[in-house]
Amino acid sequence: MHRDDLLNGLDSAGGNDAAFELIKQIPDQKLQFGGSMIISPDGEIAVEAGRAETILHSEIDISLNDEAKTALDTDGHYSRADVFGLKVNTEPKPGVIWGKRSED
Amino acid sequence: MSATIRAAIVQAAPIPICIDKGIEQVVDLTAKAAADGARVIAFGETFLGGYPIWLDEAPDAALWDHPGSKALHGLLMEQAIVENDFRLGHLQDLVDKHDLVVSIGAHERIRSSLYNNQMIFRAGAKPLNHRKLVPTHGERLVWNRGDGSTLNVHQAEWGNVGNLICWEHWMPLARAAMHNLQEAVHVSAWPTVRETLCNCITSLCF
Repeated sequence: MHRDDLLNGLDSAGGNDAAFELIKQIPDQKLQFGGSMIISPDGEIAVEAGRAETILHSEIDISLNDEAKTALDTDGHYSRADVFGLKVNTEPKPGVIWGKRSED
Repeated sequence: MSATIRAAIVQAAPIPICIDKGIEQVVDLTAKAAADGARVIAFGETFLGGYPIWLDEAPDAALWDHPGSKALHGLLMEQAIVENDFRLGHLQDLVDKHDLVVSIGAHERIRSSLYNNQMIFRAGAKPLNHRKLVPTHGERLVWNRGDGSTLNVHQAEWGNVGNLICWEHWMPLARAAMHNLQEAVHVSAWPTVRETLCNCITSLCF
């Protein structure tokens, strides 16, 4: 992505002068470079995009996920649940909860 | 027994800020990737709306009450994806038609705050949200933090698909949580991939 893309997007969205001035503080050059890659289950890079705009395709053999766990399954046979634990709180946190006192 | 999935990553310049136009671009690129055989298709971090790179590159972006930053924030609020966003109907139709799994980042608005959401579109169901748990450094000027309710995977028939966003890959416990969710395919969403990140991402395979 080049700074010109930002200026064009801003124009399409109806940006004001202040927004344009801030964006123009950014160097007039390419700002993002891609570098996408598709990685196989064994950790090897299957395909790399480099810097050009492209759609990068690859087949992934997901059955290799099982073979890749031979020596290392960080969530299973290479973990120690009796030593280390992880607790994930999946409760939504809306911040404010409305209700009657009887519903506490 | 082999089980092969056709995957694609769309590496393209987004249309920054103007999400209305960005959605058209995403529909076109998704259709193109699907026509070439892809069934799992990934786009980068906040592809819809573009990565707010002025936070890194414009020296005055963090100044108090800066009119340019406020104007950009206002535009993102106006353009951001909202829950059940009707503008995403064409993308959902495409996903339904070809039975795709599409991971795409977007600026999302909930009430009056913005979030960095890497959504997973899947056939016949609402998109699965994953809101970035900790916006990195200057990103905190734009995005609120997601809660733990969106740390999840899409359960496709052939395996689980999940995603993490950018520096969430530097959170060892977020990685551990994703390992526990048993992903068959992990989408690692970044605004741009530098060489130093390569080890971080390839090692997630294990």
